[in-house]
Amino acid sequence: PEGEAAAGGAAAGGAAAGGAATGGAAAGGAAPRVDLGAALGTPDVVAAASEPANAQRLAPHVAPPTSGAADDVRTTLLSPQFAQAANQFSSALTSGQIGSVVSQFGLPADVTAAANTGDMQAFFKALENASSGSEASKSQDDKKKDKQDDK
Amino acid sequence: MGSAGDWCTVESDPGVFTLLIQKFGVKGVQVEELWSINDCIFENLRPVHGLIFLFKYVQHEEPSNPVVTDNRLENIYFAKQVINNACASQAVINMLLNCNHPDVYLGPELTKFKEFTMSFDPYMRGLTLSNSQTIRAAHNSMSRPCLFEFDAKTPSKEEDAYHFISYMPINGRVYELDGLREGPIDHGPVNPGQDWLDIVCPIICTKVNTYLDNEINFSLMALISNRKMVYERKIYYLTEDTRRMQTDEAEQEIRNLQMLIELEDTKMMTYQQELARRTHNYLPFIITLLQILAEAKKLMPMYEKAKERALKRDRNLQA
Repeated sequence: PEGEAAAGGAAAGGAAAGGAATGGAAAGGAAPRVDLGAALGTPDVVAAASEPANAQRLAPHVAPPTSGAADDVRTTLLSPQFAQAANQFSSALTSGQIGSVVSQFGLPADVTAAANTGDMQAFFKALENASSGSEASKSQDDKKKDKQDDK
Repeated sequence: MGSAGDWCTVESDPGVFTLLIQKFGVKGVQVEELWSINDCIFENLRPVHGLIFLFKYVQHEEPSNPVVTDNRLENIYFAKQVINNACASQAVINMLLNCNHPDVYLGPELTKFKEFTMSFDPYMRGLTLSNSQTIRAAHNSMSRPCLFEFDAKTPSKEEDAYHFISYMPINGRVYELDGLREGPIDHGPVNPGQDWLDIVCPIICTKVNTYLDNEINFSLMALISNRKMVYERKIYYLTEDTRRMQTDEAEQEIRNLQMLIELEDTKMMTYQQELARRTHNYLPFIITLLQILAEAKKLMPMYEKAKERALKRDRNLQA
């Protein structure tokens, strides 16, 4: 609880500062503080993440196995340690200081820009837009492949 | 302050403390959380080497008993707290270095540290501790990696400060070791045949009650002999006995102890697993998960639901 308390406190301060600096999204809607820890542990999210194809993508990123047991996607999402990390992430996100961290993951520039505003909703919207773009191109690739296979 | 600054905050959890102590190279002890304080709670924990009282630091109170400043300090290991984040390690080390129980094996690292700093005054001891690479490395290996720069930049607010104090018997008297004081606080003698826990319990009860009244968060932990070691020792003696005189009772007792050992093994494995999670960098997992949800068009619905819950929470707080 020590770490979490500190992170929470920092987030409140950071959000206020971010709002003042950008004067944009954060000041417009009176968005409440959303903690991703609880949100990512809801049954909907657990079910979506546990679908075989998704679980396979997430598997390399779970905590390393110990002599006790190995975590899977479900145990990860439901563990308090993950919830703390997710809360820390949402605090950093709303403080508007996460753009450079996010950019390391090869996300498009507009997603990174949205992350920098400190507006969680804008960041998520940008992520959805970006993914629908790549989804479309991916399915086009698949079609091309299918055609090639036909030949 | 320089290098003394980069100590991470560690969670106040019995698993973290137990693994931290092992990381220092100490053997024969573990830490258990106490959920209440009365005589019977210690029944299965004896011998209890010390108690750690952790609370959200509010304000400076006057010590309830005299602070030791005389030459007893030469035989009590007391280090002053120099930096806040180190206080978990500091409380534990203060306690371990005063432990004279045969169950407790300090190991080379802490033995060397004790020899090196024993002649120092409390402030210099605290400073040496904060600058110890090995102790800091062990301490920091218990906490989440600092992912975001803002963690380091934002000064932690004073109200978030937690404080650890410990109680233990040293040379026949009960002392309170609080790194923010000038010295140990003397809570009086342990008379022959008396259990030091009988002296310390009322002191802690008084403290607990004032903290309960003021709704201050606190927790209480005990430094005890390694359970598995204690159970194995009991089994050894029982086996010796049964060689001479076979009894069903002893065999039943051995079976019970074996079961308790299994529980201890499971507990230690859980601690390891929790530590692996606690120190893991979940950022790649979170980003990938958000991408997965975005592709499935489940990200915004998740956010909307979370926002609704947060609004409800805020409304409830205002009401």
